[in-house]
Amino acid sequence: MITEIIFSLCIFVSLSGLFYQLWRRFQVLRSAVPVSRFDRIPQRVRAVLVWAFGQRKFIRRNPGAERSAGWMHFFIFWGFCVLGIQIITMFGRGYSDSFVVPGFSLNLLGGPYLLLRDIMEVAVLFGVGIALVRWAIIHAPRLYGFLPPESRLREQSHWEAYTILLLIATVMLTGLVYDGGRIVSDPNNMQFVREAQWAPLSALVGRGIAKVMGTSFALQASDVAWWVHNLVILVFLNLLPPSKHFHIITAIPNIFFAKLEPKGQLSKQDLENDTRFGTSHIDQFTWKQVLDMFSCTECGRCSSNCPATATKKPLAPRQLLLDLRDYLYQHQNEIIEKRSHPGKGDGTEPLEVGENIVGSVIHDDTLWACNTCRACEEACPPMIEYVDKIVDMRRHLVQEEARFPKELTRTFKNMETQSNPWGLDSGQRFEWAERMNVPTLADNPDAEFLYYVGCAGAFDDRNKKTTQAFVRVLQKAGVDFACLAREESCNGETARRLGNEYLYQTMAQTLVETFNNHKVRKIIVNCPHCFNTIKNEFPQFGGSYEVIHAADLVRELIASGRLKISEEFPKRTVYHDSCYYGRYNDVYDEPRMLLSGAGAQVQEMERHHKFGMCCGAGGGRMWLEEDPDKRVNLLRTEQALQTDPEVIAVSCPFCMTMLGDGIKAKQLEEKVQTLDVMEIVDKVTRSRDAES
Amino acid sequence: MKILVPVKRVPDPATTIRVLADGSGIATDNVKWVINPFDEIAIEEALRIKEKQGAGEVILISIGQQTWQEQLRTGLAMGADRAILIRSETPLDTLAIARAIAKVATDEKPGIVMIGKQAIDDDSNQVGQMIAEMLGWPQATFASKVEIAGEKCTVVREADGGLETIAFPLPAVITTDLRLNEPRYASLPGIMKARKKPLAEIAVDSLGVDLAPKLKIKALNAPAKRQAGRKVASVDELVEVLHTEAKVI
Repeated sequence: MITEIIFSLCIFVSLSGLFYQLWRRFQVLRSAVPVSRFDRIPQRVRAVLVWAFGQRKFIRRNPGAERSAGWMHFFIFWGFCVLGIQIITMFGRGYSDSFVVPGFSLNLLGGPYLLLRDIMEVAVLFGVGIALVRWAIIHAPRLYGFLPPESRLREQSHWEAYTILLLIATVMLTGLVYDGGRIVSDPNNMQFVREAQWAPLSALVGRGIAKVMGTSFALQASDVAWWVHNLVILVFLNLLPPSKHFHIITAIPNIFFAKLEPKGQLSKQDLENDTRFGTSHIDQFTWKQVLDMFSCTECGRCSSNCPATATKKPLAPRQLLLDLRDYLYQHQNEIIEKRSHPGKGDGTEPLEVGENIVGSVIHDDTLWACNTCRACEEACPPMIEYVDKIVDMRRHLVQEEARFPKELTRTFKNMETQSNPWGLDSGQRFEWAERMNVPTLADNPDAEFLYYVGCAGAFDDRNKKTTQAFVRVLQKAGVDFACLAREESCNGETARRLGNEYLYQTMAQTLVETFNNHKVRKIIVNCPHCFNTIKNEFPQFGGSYEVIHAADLVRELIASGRLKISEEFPKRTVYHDSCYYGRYNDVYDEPRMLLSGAGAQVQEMERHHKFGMCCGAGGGRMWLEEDPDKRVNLLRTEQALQTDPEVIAVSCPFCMTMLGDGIKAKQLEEKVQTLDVMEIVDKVTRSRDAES
Repeated sequence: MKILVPVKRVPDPATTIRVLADGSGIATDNVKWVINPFDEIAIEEALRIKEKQGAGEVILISIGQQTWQEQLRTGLAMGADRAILIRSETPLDTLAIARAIAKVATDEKPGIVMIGKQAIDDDSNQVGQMIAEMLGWPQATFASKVEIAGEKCTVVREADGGLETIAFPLPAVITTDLRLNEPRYASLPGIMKARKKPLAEIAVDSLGVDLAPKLKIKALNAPAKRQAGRKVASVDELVEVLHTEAKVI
């Protein structure tokens, strides 16, 4: 009786502590900025099944993260899922010696369950072993932090990791000792005998103890193990909310509430009615962004995939998120307090919580280092978003403070006056088409496709050649297309990624109007940045079109016989994935199919497809100065050169500039060509009617 | 201190200028209009003086048609306090413009008239000097550094072949050169606020100044297209050609 009272008291204290902490965290969520994430429930459930229960991000091939660590997590996760019933059983035994969870008696599911439980207890111990080796012996940099941006993480004490691992191991061991000691204590108890048959590992432990120390000791050990097991669980629960292990509670909701809009769609600001134009204070994040902060497990998969971290820039996604999370926790009380005193709209509204975090907690340089390449988000198991937060803070810098690297002033003004970031005379936008007999929409208003060239393809000398090659391909195949010629304007993608939402919206609205005036329905592009923003973001401005990327169209032209491959391109060709075709829009196969169809020997870098590394131009970094020692394009060029290619193939004008410059810097222009996939297609194809 | 900044609307420097067939002017279709870059530097300098002093007023003034409001709003978005647009439907010559601005300066009594050293369209480089003469104020042209201490001002000028530092009492006219500063980018709250800032319009005739043109543009011609170069075989031939054909050596 006395045991039951003490045990109940322990449970009461522990759960009170847990629920109080959870309630506070829930209040923080309620105080954050609203965002709608309760739609499309079936899709959300599916995401949870695949990413949480399927543990897909842990066990797939991933060059940024060691797979042994992934399997470690897989075992611990599924171990705890299975052992939930074991834990309930052991708590129930505090009140009844023969307690079983309904349905789990030996006559029903109990037997097979005991076997599975035994296996999982050992599997979890195995997982804990892997983790301890990684922490204590290998000293994996992914755990300790990448220098220099993660120096703060590196200086932190890591007792938390060891404590949790030891607690987990204790729970497993005491589980085995409890069951083992119990089933060997009375050989005449038929229930125990049958349990021992189903639980060979527990029985082994029990018999081992009994053999060495005696049967009565085994029973005592079982009792002690029961106490230790349950007390550790109760302590463990209270360690979750303040630590990185809060993810045990928040990761599944975080996956459930993850963004379902197109990955390449940034939030649209209401510039007419909003009172602020960016995020500068910790209480200005949405509740989903706060849930992201709750869910970080500090695993470092994000940072290990980040091109900025890899080139020793001040940004590491993990450190950024942890800096935000720590600041959030420090100001938790003020955030909750603010919600309970919202003000009455008479000027007594409370001030923002804490100081302006942009420039203090998160430095400007950190924000400008981001390529918005999404490698971090692709790697993150609980599906934390980083790009949205970085762009929100950039919006504050650009729109509210007008504080940014000075070279961007030119870029923005160029876009404003000449509708292209180069600042070249907008009157020259169609000069690439001279003597090419390219129809304009004014000549051919009923053309099936509009070919939207984009600024790089229209103004940059190297990329104009790509545009001309692609147009030759279209003409060979007899595609009914037209261009906007000088009516074409920039879509503003660069401005949006740089945080200049105002400029972006002006440009997007102008272009949507032009498209709609011409009743455009199908748009061909050969630039992933144009593709992403027109396809995924223009619907925010009343522009919904069928947007087709060049490789997709050409693949169909070849399949339908309108374009014939007449020559071989027998070169070792390494394909570099652009972030905005690849990770953002899942375009991986079409360009590769065209290359291999042309006879190229297609090679892959270590980082390709989903894990491809940015060329360094994304997120507006094309227009920012870069420290010569920290150039992403050189790193990526080196990765490409490791495959010993004759040709580096790209499908993005900015990748072309970056990798082309990389090859020039290495003085390898004679040996390695940088070509757009469309240039290769142009070389090897002829029209159906042409003589072979 | 009150600072008056005259602002001219000019074609964006990136625009390729095309002269009309009859030579009467330039084609303005597809031309993007901006604040004259030197005037933008003047606005920036005026704003910095105001911010440093913690008080004052920056007033923009322009002379032209209604569409010129656009450039004044841009200047207001940068942070100027108010703007005056002197409406004139026909273009005026430099002297008439200087008279109109001098008249407004007489009424507004600014401590400084801060103006770009020249406009990048016609490159006259006259208005600042004329205003100073009309007002009888000191002038500091081609300023690359401006420092103000009480009623005294020190300016570093970009003179031919070096820098010249001059000191003079205020009020004065200062014309700004390229290296004085880098103009700011307007913030979004700045753009929003600019919509509500006062922008007064005055008819140019109501100023009561002599607008009669002293200058007449007779014709505009596009510069001749560059001739293709020619390769020569040797240094000797090059010297020969430079001597006999180009007659430069």
